[in-house]
Amino acid sequence: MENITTSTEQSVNKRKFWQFPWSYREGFTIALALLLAGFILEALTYGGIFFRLHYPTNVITLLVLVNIIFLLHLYSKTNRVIRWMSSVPSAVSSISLFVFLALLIGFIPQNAEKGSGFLKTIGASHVTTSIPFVISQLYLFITLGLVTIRRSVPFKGKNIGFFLNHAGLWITLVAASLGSGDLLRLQMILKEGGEYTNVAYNSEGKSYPLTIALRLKDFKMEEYNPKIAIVDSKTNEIKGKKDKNMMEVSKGLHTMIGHWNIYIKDFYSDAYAADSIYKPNNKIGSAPAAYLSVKNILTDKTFSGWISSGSFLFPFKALKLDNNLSLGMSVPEPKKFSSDIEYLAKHEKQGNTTVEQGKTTIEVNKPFKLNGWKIYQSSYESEFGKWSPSSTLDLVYDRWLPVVYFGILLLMAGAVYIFWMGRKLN
Amino acid sequence: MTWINFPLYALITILLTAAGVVILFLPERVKFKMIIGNILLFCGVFVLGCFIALLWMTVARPPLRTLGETRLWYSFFILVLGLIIWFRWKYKWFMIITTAFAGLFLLINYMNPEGYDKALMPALQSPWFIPHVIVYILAYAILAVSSLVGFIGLYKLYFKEYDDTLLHLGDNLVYIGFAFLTFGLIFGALWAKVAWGHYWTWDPKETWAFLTWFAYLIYMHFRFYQPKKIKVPLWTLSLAFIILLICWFGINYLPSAQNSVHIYAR
Repeated sequence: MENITTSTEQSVNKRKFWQFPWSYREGFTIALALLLAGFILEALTYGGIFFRLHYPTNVITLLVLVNIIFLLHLYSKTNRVIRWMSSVPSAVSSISLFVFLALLIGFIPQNAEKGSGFLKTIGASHVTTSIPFVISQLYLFITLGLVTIRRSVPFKGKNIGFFLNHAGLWITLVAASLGSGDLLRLQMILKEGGEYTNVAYNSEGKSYPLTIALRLKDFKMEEYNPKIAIVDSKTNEIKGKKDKNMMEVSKGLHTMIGHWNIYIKDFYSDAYAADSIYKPNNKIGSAPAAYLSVKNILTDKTFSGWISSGSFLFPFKALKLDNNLSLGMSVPEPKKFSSDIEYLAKHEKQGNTTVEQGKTTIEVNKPFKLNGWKIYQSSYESEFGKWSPSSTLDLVYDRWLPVVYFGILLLMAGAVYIFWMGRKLN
Repeated sequence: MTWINFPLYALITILLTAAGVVILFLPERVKFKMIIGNILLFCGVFVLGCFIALLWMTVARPPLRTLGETRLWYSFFILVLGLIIWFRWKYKWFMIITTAFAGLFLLINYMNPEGYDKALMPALQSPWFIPHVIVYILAYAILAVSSLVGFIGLYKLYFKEYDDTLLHLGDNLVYIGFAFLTFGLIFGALWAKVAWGHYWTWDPKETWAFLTWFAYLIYMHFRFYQPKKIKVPLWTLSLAFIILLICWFGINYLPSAQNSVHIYAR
C-alpha cells in the first residue's frame, strides 16, 4: 500500500514535488490545474456551451468511460501515475474539486442561461452545465472507477462493504449525470371538461408532442375548515402570532380570542351571499361563511354577524369588533387535491399501432405511469381554490431512472454495512 | 384508542424508557441491571408502538396525515433507532440523547393538542416524510457528538495530554452518523421523485446536504490514509460541523436559497 514515512525519515529524505509516490500536494495541484483549465475553456467559449448529452451520445460516453477505466486499470501495475490515481490522496483531491464546484452552487444563485458578467463567463452561474463541472466529474468518475475495480477484482468477501459504497456511488453519479441530458420535465395545463391534448411544454415554453393524450374530467379538492382570527380593520392582516390566535371554525364552537367571547352559531363550508345573508349552496363560486355572536367582556356588549373568507365570486367579509380590529375568516387550506383524467396511449409493436384507453385519478405524492412517463398532480389556479377551472400536471420522462435506483440500492446496503461495522481498528 | 389516551401512554413510555436508561447507568455490581434495564427500554418503545397501532385501527388509515401523528412517529423511530445503536454499539450516553429527543417530541405534542387533527399540507402527506426527517435528526445528533470529540480533542492536544481513544470514538461516530446522513440523502431523493418529479434538483438544501456528506467523506478517507496524524482530523471534525450547521440553519440566510422548497417560513 502507500508509504507512510515517519517524521525522522521525512526530515532526512524530504520528498520532492512530483517525486513518486505522489501524495496530497500533487493531488491538489492537479485538481487546481483542472479547475483553471475548466474555467479558461468555459470563458473561451464565451460561456456559450451548455453541456447536455442526449441519447445515444450519453450511452456511448458511458461505454467509452468504462473502457478507459478498465484499460487504465490494466496499466496500473506498471504506471505509477495511474496507480496513484486509485489512491486516497487522489480520491480526496477529486472529491475536493467536486466539492468546490458544489460550493459555488451553494453560494451563487444558479440562473442557467440568464446569468451575466464574470460569473457567467467562467460558468459559475450555471455550474451543472459548465465545462469545469464536466472535467471535475470525469476526474471523479475515473478515480472512483479505478479504485472500485482495484479492490473488487479479484473479489474478496471482506471487501463487500467497500464495493457496495464505491460501486454504488459510481453508478448513481454516472447514471444521474449522463442521464440528465435525457431527462424531460414537461407540463400540461388541462381545462376541466376540455378535449384530449397530447402536447406538453417545458419550462421555456417549447412544445413537445407526445404519444399520450390526456383530458381532465374533474379537478377535486378537499379543504380543511377555515380559521377565524383577529384582523386589522383596514388592511385585513392577521394580528399577533398566527398559530396561537387562529381558531378552526366549526358550528357550535365557543372560544375566547383576546377579550372577546365568540360563539359560532352557524357554519356553511359552501354558501352564496344574498343581501349580506349567507345561504348554503355548493354551486360554483361558493364561499365558506359563518354566523357568529360575539361578546366584548370589557364592555359587556354583544353583537352578531356573518363572516366569510370569500371566493372569486364573493368578497371577503369581516365582523367589526372595534375601531381598529375585526374578526375575519381565513381562506381554507387544501387538505387533498387530485385530477380525474382520461387518457389515450399509443403503443407501437412490430409495425402495429394500438391505442390504449383508460381513466385514473392523479393525486399529490401519487404519480401515474403511462408509456414511460410519470404524471404528477402539480398545481391548480389558486385564486379559484377548489373551483379551479384547470389543473396543472407535470410529466417526467427519465429512462435512466432504473440505473440510478440500482446505484442507490447499493449505497443503502453500503450504509447499513458501515453503520453495523463502524470503524473497526486492528 | 383516541388522542384522549395519549397523555397517559406518553407518560408511561417516557417513565419506562427513562427508568431503563437510569438503571443502565447504575454501578456494575448491581445484579441483573443489564437485563432489567433492557427490558424496561423495550417496554417503553412497545407501549408507544401499541398506542400508534391502536390509533391506526381507530382512524382506519395510516396515521401519517396530521402534525400530531408525525410527532408520534418521530418519538417512536428515535427510540427504536436508539435501541438499535445501544444494542450494537453499547453507547449508553446516546440513549440519554434519544430518550431526551423522544420525550421532547411527546411533550411538544402534549402541549399542542390542536396538532392532533391539524393536517399537513398535501405535499407532506407521504410515508417518506418521517423517515427522512428522523434519520437526519439522528445523523445531526451523532455528528454533533463527534464534533464535540473534535473540540475536546483539540483542547486536550493544545492544553493538556492528548489521548488516542478520543479520535477512535470520533471515527466510529462519524461512520455511524455518515450512514444516517446517507439514508437521509437517499430518502429525500426518493421522496422528491414521488412528490416533485425528480430526485435531485440542486435545491440549496440538497446542495448543502451533499456538501455535508462530502465533508465527512473526506474526513473518513483522510483518517484511513494517515491514521497517525492528529491535528488535521481534529480540526476537520470541528469544521465539518460548521458545514452541517449551514445546511441545517444557515441556508435560510443565503441569497442563493430564497427559492428553496425547504424554506418553510415565508
